[in-house]
Amino acid sequence: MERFAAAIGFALVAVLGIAAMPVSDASASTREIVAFESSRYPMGSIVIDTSERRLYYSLGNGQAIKYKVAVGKPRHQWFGDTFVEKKKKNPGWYPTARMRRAGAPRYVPPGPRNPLGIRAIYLGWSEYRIHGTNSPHSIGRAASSGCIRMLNDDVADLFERVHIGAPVHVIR
Amino acid sequence: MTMKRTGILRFGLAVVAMLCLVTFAAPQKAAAQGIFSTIFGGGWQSGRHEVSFPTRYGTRVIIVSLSDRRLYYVHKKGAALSYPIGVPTGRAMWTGVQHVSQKRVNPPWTPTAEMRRENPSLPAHVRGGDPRNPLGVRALYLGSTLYRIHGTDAPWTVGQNVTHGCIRLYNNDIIDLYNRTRVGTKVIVTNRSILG
Repeated sequence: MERFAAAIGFALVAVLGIAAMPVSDASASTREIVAFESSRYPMGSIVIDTSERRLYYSLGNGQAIKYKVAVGKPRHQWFGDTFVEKKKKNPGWYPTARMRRAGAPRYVPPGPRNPLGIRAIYLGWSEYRIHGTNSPHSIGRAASSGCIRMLNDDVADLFERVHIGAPVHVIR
Repeated sequence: MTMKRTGILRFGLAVVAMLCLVTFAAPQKAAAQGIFSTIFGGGWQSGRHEVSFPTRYGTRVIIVSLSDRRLYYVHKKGAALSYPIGVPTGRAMWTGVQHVSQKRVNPPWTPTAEMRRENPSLPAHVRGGDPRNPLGVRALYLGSTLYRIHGTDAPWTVGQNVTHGCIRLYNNDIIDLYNRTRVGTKVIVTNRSILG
């Protein structure tokens, strides 16, 4: 009897656990409008708060759109200012030399296996980009090699808003 | 009593004299550099001062004068902050106009292929924040070039013609300059002497 009760209890916990699991759907969005210091970051600028794992797009009226992002792993994090240099739909992915030494392929064409997802925003002639993803569960974590990763739906939204030349600030 | 005091004074003078000797007479070898950076903590001095400056360059602009070995930041009309710099050696010398394209805190350093050919003992990569990182604690990237205005881990090279094209400041000075400039700030690198 006791064993039966334990089994029922276990099953219940398992079912509840599965039901409570976050829905990791690549088409979901995380964006919301929040209050923001527009005086420091004028309309159109992007602020990436690394410790908070959030990206803010300043609307210039004391508000910003806040998106959930994945940031670099602690050893790959970087801080400073840069700008949007280029925007690309359905980007191909050329892993850096260091990634290739760690086993990455030379090139990954656009598609479901491309870790850049459906949009890429290139930052200041560097190897770093703000991009979509093919692994939505990583969003909100310190998971990347220095890039800023967003859900595909979110990066498509940001892509339409942001202009080439827009300032990008990466803060701790 | 007087004798004792003179003794202490003499000892003090001797210590000062020895320190001066170490500071000014030590040869610039790798071993000595280690001692230097422990003494000075790796570039944490400053050589910044304010000077009056010609107005023809406009304000909020960086002017690097290779012959003055100074970097000027025109912070207001008719006045600039002048910082001592290390500048490129003969064949790495370049002049022209660029804009700050990126600002980085604790920049990582990847020596170019040419630097590694010249000195095969160089590592392939030095992480940002490493006390041996030659870029120091801040870097301003210039356009799409590999040149940067940066700090240093070797403060005794500031004021010399030693770099591979970069402009090198004391760490305290690059922090000060970093906080004053923005992405987009114009940078003029010239051979001309501006204030002599």
